[in-house]
Amino acid sequence: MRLNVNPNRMELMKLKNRLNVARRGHKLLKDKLDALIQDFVRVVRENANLRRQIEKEVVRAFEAQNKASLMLSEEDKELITVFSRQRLVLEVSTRRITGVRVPHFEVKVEGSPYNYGLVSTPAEIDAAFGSFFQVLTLLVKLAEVEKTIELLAVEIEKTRRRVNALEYVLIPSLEETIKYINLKLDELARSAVVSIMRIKGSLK
Amino acid sequence: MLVDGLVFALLGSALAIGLAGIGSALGVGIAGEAGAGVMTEDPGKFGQVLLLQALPGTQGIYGLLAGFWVLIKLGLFGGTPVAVTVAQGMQIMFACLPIAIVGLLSGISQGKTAAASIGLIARRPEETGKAIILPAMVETYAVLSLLATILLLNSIKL
Amino acid sequence: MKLQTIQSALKEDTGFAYLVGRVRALESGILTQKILENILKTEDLEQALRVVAEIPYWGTVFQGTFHSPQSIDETLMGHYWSILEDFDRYRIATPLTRFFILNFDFNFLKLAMKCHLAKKTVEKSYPTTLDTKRVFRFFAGEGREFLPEPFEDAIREAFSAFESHAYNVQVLEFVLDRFYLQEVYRLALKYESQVLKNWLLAYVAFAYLKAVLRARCQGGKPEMVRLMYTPNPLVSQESFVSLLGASPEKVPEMIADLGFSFILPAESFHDDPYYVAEVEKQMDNYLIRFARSFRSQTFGPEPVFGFLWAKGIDVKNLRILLEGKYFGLSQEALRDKIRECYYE
Repeated sequence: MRLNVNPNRMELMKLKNRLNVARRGHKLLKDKLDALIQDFVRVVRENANLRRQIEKEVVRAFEAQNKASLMLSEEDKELITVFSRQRLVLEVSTRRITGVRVPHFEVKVEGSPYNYGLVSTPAEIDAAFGSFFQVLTLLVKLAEVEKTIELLAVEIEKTRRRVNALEYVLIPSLEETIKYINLKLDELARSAVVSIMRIKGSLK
Repeated sequence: MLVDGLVFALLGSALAIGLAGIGSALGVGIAGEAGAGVMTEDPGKFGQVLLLQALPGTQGIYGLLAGFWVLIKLGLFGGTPVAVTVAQGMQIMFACLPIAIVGLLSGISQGKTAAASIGLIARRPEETGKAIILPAMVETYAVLSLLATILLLNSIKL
Repeated sequence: MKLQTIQSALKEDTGFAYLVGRVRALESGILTQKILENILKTEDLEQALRVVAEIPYWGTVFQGTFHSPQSIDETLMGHYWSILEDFDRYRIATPLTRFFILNFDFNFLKLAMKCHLAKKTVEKSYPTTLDTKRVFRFFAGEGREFLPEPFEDAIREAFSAFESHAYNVQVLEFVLDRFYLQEVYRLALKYESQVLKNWLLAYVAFAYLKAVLRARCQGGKPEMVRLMYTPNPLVSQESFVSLLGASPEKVPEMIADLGFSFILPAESFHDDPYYVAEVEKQMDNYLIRFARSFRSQTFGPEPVFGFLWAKGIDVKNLRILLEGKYFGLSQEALRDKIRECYYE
């Protein structure tokens, strides 16, 4: 699509400059896109692994819970869970992946997860509590990875739109306009030559 | 003289009836408690339990029999009382001791065995027959002692 | 001499004749390995409950029970508690039932204390001889309120230990466990029957061994675990605490030195909750095998005690099986968990 400009040398200069900038920008953005996609693939792979691991752990945790549940009376169950002074502190910081700010979660545990006695409860619940505790940290990690994927995806989309805009809209239209101005200027030059030749002829 | 001899003879009779009776009462009591326990949970066992509870009751009857034997021998049931010397009175008293002592102890033992057997039929009703034989074995010695007492009494010449 | 034998013959705990008679009848309702196998073989809870209904004295127990773990547990505990209460009514059996009721009372007390600290109320009613309202009034510090003997001291000490140990909830339970085991030990000293005394001592010793093995898995600290300890002849405080810090290779040796090598399962020792669970199973099996000798006693407290313990194991086994069927766990997994029976 041709830009609506006056076809003169001044504009041609300007357009040429813009085209240069656009080409350079395009190349840079394209590099960034590649880097982003590389990171994205890496994080997605990490996510897949994590998910598989969590699935395994969750199944194990629930199995442990079921096993423990067999050994516990309802009173014991209430007794074990009714009061806990364990606190989970979630620290949120940010880091940068290829210029994208992504969150980083850190879980800190205060107090013991075992808030019950050892004499009247079965040992199976220790296993259940232990497994769920592991699952918890993994889940927090998963949340971090998922959010990272989301942010990276948004960034990739944005960058790709820019690259495309440069590649398919701005650069072609600039080229077309430059070509048009060139043609127009050539045309002007030719018509000037012709008119001079005609004047010369009439003088003879 | 006559009165003194009778005292010993009557003491023997009283011992036979009393001690054997106590034995039976304790025995029946123990068996009865166990029986009541079983029947609390399983009233259908009344028949077998009653049979077993009654087993230790025989010692009392034997004692009573021996006691009456002495009374008859002394002619205290109608007829004329026989004159008894001290020696004869003591003979009668000692003759009564087998059923008195054995009645007391075997009554208690039989009561315990009966209680145990009641426990047995509570768990295994199909073994009722065997369960009754066990306490019945104790009965043998009560019968033997009764026999001894009667033989001894018969051998005393008044 | 002769008089003494007669006296002893007369005295020999025939006072228990009634209760023993009852126990003999009730024992036909005690589960056996065969019944457990039959329940194991069923496909779902429905079928399992049908098998249970065929056992004597269990016929109507599960009538109107919903098919949920809560409802099953409520039924089982209600059944067990009603038997305990029933036996508790006979004065002669009170020292025996006290052992079983203590467990319920201390459990309730723990729950009440935790609810009090969490500012909640105890919503469901659990079997206990303690009065909920009175316990809470006592917590609130009403001077007029008093509780039976061991509980008052236990509560006071537990709260103060809770405060002095940086509000660690486990401390509460450790202190209460100490009072519970202390009470069990006192009960053991009171018993005239030597076998029952030994049984209770073994129970206390097992409680400590199991606690220390679990504390190892949880990474418990000696100064906290020590709160649990009450002096008893089988496990000294020294060996109790040193078991906590010992390296895994040395633990089997130390347990063998205490004379309890039979509680360790066949596999080699390692600090794992499931290993400890296996140890717990061995302990339960040992205690029930010990109690089996009580069966053959005609008189005296032993058969009654044995029956009550066996009933507790039955409740445990039935809970495992019925809830296992509810969760659809495999036969092997369940067979792994079930305890030995009173009657083979």
